[in-house]
Amino acid sequence: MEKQKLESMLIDYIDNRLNTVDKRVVEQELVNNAESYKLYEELKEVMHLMDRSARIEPSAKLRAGFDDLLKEEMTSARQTKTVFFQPALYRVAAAVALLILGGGIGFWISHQREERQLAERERLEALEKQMQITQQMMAMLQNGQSASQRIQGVNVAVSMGKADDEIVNALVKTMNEDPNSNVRLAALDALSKFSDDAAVRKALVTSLQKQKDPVVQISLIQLLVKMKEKSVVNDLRKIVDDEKTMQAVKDEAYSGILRLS
Amino acid sequence: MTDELIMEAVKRGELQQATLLFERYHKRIFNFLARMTMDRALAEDLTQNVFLRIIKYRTSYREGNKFQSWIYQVARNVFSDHYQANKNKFSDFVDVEKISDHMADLEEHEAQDEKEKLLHQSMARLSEEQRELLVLTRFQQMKYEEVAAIMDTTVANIKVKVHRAILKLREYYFEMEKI
Amino acid sequence: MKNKKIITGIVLLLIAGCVQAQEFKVAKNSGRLELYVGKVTVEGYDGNEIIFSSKDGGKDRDERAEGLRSVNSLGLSDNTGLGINVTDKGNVVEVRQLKKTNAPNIRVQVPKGVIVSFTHESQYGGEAVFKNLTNEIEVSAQYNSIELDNVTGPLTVKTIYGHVEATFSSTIKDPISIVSVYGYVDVTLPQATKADLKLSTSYGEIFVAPEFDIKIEATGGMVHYSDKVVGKINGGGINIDLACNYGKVYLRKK
Repeated sequence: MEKQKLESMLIDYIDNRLNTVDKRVVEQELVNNAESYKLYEELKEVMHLMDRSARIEPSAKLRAGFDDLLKEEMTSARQTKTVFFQPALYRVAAAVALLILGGGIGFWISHQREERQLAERERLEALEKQMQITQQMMAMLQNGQSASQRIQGVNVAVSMGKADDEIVNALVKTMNEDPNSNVRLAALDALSKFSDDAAVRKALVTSLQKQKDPVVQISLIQLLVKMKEKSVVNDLRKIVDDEKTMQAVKDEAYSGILRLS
Repeated sequence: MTDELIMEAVKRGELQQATLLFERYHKRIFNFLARMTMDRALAEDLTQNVFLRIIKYRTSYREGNKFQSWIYQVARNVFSDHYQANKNKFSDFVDVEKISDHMADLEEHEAQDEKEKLLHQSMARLSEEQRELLVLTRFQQMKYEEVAAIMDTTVANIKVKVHRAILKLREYYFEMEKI
Repeated sequence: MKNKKIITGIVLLLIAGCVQAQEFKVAKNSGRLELYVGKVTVEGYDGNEIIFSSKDGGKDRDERAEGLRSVNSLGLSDNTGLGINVTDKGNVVEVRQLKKTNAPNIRVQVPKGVIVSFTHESQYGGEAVFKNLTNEIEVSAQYNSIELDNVTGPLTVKTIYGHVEATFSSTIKDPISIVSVYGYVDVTLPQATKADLKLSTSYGEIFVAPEFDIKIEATGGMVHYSDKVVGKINGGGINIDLACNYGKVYLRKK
């Protein structure tokens, strides 16, 4: 039997996941092959060790810490979004706790913990800020009253540098559905910066059939040609053949076909 | 009451309900992080951070999603954030010192079994991803389906990776046993 | 001599009275004003009403139509006496012209907080002029040329065949986005404007006043298409995006 397959089957055998036929096969192998039997024994030992490994019990500090943080969160939720830690006070409290708890080593460890907590707080704040910016961006992109606000939303998205799925999806939606051409164009321009991304590339390709505004069509065709996206040649033909297409778009599509094929 | 219903209540602003989730999950999350970091004190801090994030970002919990998957995802993020942040702060030398120190710390609290000690030393040599897979599937006895949901991948993929991790662990374990 | 003066005075009064009579007002100092007309002059002013008036002074009045009401195929009626229909929809005030091919020459005065939107697709129209506006302006046109004089933005302007001329006042508000397919885009900025510029044309040329020292940005990882200048003037700031396909882009200093 192939080594890799045997190893995998042995693990499933120990976990009792095999059907009767496969079980027979493995048992036969174990009887006939001493080396396989050794492997089986060894695997069984580590697997059972892991399965039987004792749970580690957290100290009482964990629960106390949780109770404190919950209390703090509940008051800060009531106070409608103030700063959630009071750093100075918090640090004093931590220092006092240190003095009570710690000897020499205790001091060192606690100091490290305090630093960790500080770092975590900074991270949380950064995370929160990022979430706020994302939310703000989403709100701007959905502002039905003002096209400028929506463009600003696109600009915020670009300024965030890297695009996660949420941002890319929002930009794609804007590119395809926003009622204002300038906004759609801005979203297209923003997405062009992430055109290396496979999902973005796909979104740009499928958008070609959806765009009806010549301004956006022309820019999109230029971008797809620059990206050497050969799969759009058929869509470009359709655009050229469509009577309703504006001349400038036809010209662009035609030059695109020539350059891609 | 299901975890999901409780989390939805928390999301609506009934923060007190988070206590129930803490009761149900803090030991598992702590164990997960303790096995990942090999450092009890750090694991306690990080566990606390997991619950802090759960409460702070309660509104980002999507209704209908499995709570268990979500909290483990948060725990993984907290762990990797910590790892990222500390990568720059300490030199490799200090890091190695720390790990062996804290491993001793971890082992003290467990049965003084030679074999168990060997197991942890072998675990420490695995890649982070492999260690994580074994912690979840063996130590925490999660189903492949559950792990796949947490890591957002397929069951088949998880199974292959877990098998590879077990084989690697066996290799390290018996290598060290010989010494 | 004296008589002549008096007569002139009376005529002037009459014209003024006539114009007066042809004003139509909507009390509104926020929301959107949506203009679906072929030709218009929009001006900003300090007030709380949107005021519509005719620039022709009503000289093409049809006496035969006296006492009648003009209606069109959309079922709209002239509720202003200016050849346009004005509908107040709460947050939005919609303005449509009655005649399909012959746009009335309308002047609109708008208070500061109203967003001004101009949309026109048909080839029967004229220039759309926007003057002394601190309001946000949105223009979506096919054939119209657009003139913007002493405006601040925010601004989104698109026209296909028309050209765009814009002169900005000293304070400019983000974002400025102007696009034309066949026409030129000619923009005049105060020299001290701090801006992130994006100037592009597919088949035209770009001209910039020598006083603007554009710090061209490194465009790492960006897909470059057509002729495009991306850079900052005076250290960067507001986003200004000017684009043409066949026309030229001009950037002048005030």
